[in-house]
Amino acid sequence: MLSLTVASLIIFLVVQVLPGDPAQVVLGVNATPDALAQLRHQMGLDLPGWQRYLAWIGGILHGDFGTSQVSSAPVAELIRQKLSVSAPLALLGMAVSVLISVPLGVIAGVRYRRLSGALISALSLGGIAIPAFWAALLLITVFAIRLHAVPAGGFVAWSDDPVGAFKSLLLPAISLGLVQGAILTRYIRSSIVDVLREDYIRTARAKGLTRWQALRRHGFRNAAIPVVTVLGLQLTSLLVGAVVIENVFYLPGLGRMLIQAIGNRDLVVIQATVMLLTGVVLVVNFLVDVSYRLLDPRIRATR
Amino acid sequence: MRPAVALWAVVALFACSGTPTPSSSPKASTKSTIVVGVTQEPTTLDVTAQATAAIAEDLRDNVYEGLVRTDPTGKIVPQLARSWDLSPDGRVYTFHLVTARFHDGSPFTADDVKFSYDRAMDPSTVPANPHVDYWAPVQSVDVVDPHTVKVALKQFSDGFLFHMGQGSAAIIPKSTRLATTTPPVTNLATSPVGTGPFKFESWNRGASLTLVRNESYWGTKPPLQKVIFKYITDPNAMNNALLAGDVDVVSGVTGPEQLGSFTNNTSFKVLEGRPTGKILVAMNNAAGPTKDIRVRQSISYAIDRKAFIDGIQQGHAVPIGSHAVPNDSEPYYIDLTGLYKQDKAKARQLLSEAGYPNGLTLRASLIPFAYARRGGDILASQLAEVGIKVQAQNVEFPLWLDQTFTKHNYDLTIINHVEPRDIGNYGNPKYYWGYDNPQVAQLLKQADAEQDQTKRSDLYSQVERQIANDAVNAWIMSPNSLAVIKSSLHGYPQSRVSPSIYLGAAYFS
Repeated sequence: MLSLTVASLIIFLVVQVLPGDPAQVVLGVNATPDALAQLRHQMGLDLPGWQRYLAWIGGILHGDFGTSQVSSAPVAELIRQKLSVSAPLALLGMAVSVLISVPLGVIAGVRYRRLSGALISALSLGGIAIPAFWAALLLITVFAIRLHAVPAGGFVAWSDDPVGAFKSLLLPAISLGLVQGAILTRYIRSSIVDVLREDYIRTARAKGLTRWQALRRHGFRNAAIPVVTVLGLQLTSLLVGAVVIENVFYLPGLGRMLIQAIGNRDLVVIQATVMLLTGVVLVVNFLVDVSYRLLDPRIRATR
Repeated sequence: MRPAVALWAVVALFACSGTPTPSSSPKASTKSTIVVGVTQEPTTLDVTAQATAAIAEDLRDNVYEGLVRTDPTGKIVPQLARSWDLSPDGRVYTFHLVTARFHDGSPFTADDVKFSYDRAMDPSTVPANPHVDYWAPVQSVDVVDPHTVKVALKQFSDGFLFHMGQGSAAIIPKSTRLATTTPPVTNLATSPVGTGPFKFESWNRGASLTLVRNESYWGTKPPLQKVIFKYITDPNAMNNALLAGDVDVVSGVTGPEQLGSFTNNTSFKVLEGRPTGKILVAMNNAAGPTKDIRVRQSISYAIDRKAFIDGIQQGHAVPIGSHAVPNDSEPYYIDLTGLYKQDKAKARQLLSEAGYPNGLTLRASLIPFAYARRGGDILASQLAEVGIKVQAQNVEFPLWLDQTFTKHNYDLTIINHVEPRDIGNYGNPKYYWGYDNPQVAQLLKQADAEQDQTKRSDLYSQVERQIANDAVNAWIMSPNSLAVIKSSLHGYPQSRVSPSIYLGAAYFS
């Protein structure tokens, strides 16, 4: 709660110092000064800062995120619409990333001195070096333009056509997942390599277990802790950081809305979106903390 | 002036095919839905509420109509007014209206015209019309009978009728109400109601806008059943969408170098239309080194327009030498590109006469549109050759509005003035370039009030020449409108001189 309050203050202050005027954006370059003043009044921009802050926070506490200054649409509704794209996209991207990185990372870790391990390692470096948008363009060229298997972009609402909606998220999720997966592979690999050097693995091996058996019984849980941390960070960055991919596939997601709102100086939308993201980060961090306790009995014991 | 992409608006009654479209008999087998790829999304669907060009682009002439409309060449043609008379003294327009219905079923009458115009003229209207200035010449609007309306002007104004063809001069039903939001909007903001050939169906913010055919349209019914505008900002994504068949039209080509993949492909047609918009290097005439006419002339002499045209538009543009464009919306155009031909020696000489023998540094504020950013690089290299260092400042559009447009805190900026017939801005000393010449202001007033076409054009030409002589700005080019469409599509507007992408005549073969 304290972190959220502090965050809300910081967000509000930063947004206020953004130069530029939403009223001018709305009325354009031919607007008369009177019309501008009138619109600023309607937008509540002529009130002192502390009043606007209190009004905003008060609204949020009542579940009212306000209305967009540029389109007058309710912000909660706008965010809900964008989340119906961004949340599944982030989760799908995560799923792709995990599906790729867990097997590859483990093999690369276990066989880190062999050729196959080195190859996976090199491949993942390549994956990190490839920008997501480039992967996206390749995927579009092959699957959308050549094969016509999926659309080149755009989004159909879940309520209209769930299969179509899923299809339109497929390529973006793969583009995101490939790059995130490459990063995750490296974390999993080094985490496994570290674990394999631990005393308890050596002891387990001495008891007669094979490398795999030792890893399965004693290694994975330990190796998972740093990986879960990275996973948590990736999830939040996928939620809004997918803006480049949203542009390539012209998906109406959260990232694009935020960029547009900044371009239009739609202060209320910016504040609400950043606030929401702050909330998500806090929740994800909390879940990550919880998962530590599940994964590692020692952490459970110390609390 | 809106920062819209070079091309902005639209369409022809019988556009590129040149033949009238089969009105009521679209073959059942042909495609009846068109998907148009557009760069900019409207911020609201109330065409009378905001200045964003994208609103009129999608909705004017398709959903909303006005008394008159601007045809693809820039001429004024009848729309809801089937004809009009002008009193001999040029002060009173009598408009004779068509019989039509709004999409909500209510009849369109003279009362709606009076309501729309009175509302637009009144600066205290909420939300305010962004173009109150269009109605500045109007004294009163009077209903004669349900199908006749009289508009009395303070004096004849050449600009008045032209402006009634623009987006914000659309006729809206008198039942239009205000919703209780902050800031307040009308019911049209989310569900537009007009008299046009298409009705609003749905708006998926950030993704698309869908219109369907108005089955009880008063005029020729459109061949198409459904129109979908898809909003795609990334030029690569736009191209891919066309190649993959997700869209049928790329309405505004922002990077002409991307035409390559379409020019030799028979599945697609590239439509190159008439020039619209004026890309210019605007200069601060009121403050800083550019206050000195010799510095401004020096800059004008330093510029090679061809490099800009090739670098920004790959040649798809015409050079301009003053604030007018060779299309029918500005019939007073004269070619003044010969006034300042690139002459580096002269540019350097003028600079040292102005007191800068060792050159100087000027700031250039550049908004994130391709023409401005690329133009900034070309400008910097050309001015460097005569000893002017350009310090580029990349700014977002709201910041540009604030610093450059409102506070006049700038030396140079590159901008595309897309509004037609905007030469009147040179009579406003408070406009952002700060040009104060009472003689020009007087000429502009005379020109607008002059009924005789020849005399009027002559007065405007004098203004063009005077502002060019004073090197108020360095005018570069007017980009040709460029669109890419599927070859099977006909009746799509070849040019974009009017404010809208009119699709009432479009059909697939």
